[in-house]
Amino acid sequence: MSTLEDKIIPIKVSDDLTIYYKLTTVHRRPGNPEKCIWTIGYNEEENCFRKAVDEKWLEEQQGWGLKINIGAEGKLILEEVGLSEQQEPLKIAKFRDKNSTKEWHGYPADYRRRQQDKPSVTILADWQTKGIITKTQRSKISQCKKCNL
Amino acid sequence: MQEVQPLKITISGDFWDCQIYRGRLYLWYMDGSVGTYKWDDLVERTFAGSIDELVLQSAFTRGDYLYGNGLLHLFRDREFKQTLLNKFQKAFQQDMVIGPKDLKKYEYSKQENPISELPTDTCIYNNKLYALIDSGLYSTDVHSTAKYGISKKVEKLWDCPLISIKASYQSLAMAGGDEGLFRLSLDDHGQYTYDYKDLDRVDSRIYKISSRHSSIVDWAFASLYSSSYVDSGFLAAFRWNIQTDKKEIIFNKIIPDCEIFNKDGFSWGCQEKIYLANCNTIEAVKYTQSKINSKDESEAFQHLELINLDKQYGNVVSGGIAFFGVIIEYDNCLLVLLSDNELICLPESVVRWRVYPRSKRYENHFHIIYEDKLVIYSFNHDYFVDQKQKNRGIEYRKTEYKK
Repeated sequence: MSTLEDKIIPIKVSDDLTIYYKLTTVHRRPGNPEKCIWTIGYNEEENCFRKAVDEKWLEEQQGWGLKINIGAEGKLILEEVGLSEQQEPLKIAKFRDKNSTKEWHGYPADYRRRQQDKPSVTILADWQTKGIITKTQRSKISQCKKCNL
Repeated sequence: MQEVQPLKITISGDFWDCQIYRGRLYLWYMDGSVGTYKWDDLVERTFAGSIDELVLQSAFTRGDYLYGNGLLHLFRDREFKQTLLNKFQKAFQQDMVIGPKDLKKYEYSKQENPISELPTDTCIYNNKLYALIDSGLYSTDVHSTAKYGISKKVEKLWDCPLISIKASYQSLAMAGGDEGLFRLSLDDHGQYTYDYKDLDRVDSRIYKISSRHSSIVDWAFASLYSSSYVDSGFLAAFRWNIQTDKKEIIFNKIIPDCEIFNKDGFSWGCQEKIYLANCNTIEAVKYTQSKINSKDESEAFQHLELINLDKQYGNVVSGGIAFFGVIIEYDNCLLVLLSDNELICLPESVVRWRVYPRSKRYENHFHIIYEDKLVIYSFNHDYFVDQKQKNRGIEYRKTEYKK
């Protein structure tokens, strides 16, 4: 069910493929004990999804995103995107197209608590190849361990 | 200063995981290949002449050589003990490095990883490799005389995404994160019987032990100790029924760590030892499985000591237990509380680490994979420690534990 604040944004992937990203308030209500919440704005959430599209971090029905800044000497820095139910900072976003309708939505991923939030082996490999995470960080995420991203 | 410093062998390379089993070292490479190496030959021939033979073998290929009550009497002889200590001290001063050429020379096989992806966790038991990947649990044969060290004939056992596994008593204990804790029977020959009537049956061989969050699991005799990176740990207590002719394992109950320690923290256990880390203290408890059903259940958990660390090492990430001591993984280091009450801090965040307390010959090994190498530590102080009295590390029981 959509709310007044829900907004669906078309995103052109190629000449013959357009997908949609739904910005919802579900993961923005502080105090909701069952949800991780975004701490980035709607624009940043949308940009995070667009980057996931550009980088091909979307798989069949799920995908993952990151908010990356470039620090001193070109070092890639991962920024917080949300908070867990326990108010711990989260730096990975999870995107879903649950019904394969090409309409995606997202939320901050708590990979330590929820197995389904853990980025797939392909995505983690890509992040390591691109120098976004180290092998050590990849291994810790793979084992659902706490990791200083 | 420790009497016996740990020895170490460094192997350069881009590794993801490692296992050692029955004379073979298995290395998972980041390029998707797996190497199987003739470990005993590799070590004993590469370092022959430079390291004392007895030290080399007991440290790296026959960890069981120096354990045993008979030898404890010999170690009480000062001259004998000093001679042995001198040999270890001399070996400690040697830089032991295995280069790619040495590794290649003792290669049994190098093959494409038959289980398609880099594993989340692996375990070798009864000549079978068990591996976890995103799509579930797989197994295949190892240690055959076939062309490849790991058979290409892979069987999918379960499609649940699991985090860690440990095998013992013809069973595989499986930590499934928010899915819970499970136990898979590998007992094809009916070595044991099971009374799991209070547990949920997932399929003909898999039982759900608990719905509580489970990140890592280890064996505490027939019981399981489950640790969680995000929630409290717990003991899944099982017991033996000795009334029947066959060995029967009966599920008893779940005991949360707060009932064992009366406080919160990260807890982990293996065999008779359970530890809980809270700020800069580590509490040690001795678990006696047979006392779980006694009138006073608290008798099952005997407080051993409260260890105050001299400084903060950061956030606890994970933990493990071996005969030689207790391992605590922090954000940026590994801390080893040794069974002789010394402490070793190994700085640097690591890709993966493993100990092999169920192994017959490598129980003194501590394998650590870093970004560019595998370091194999060998801890040899525990031979000189009174096994009944030690608080840090599992008690070595030659006959009981090595079933």
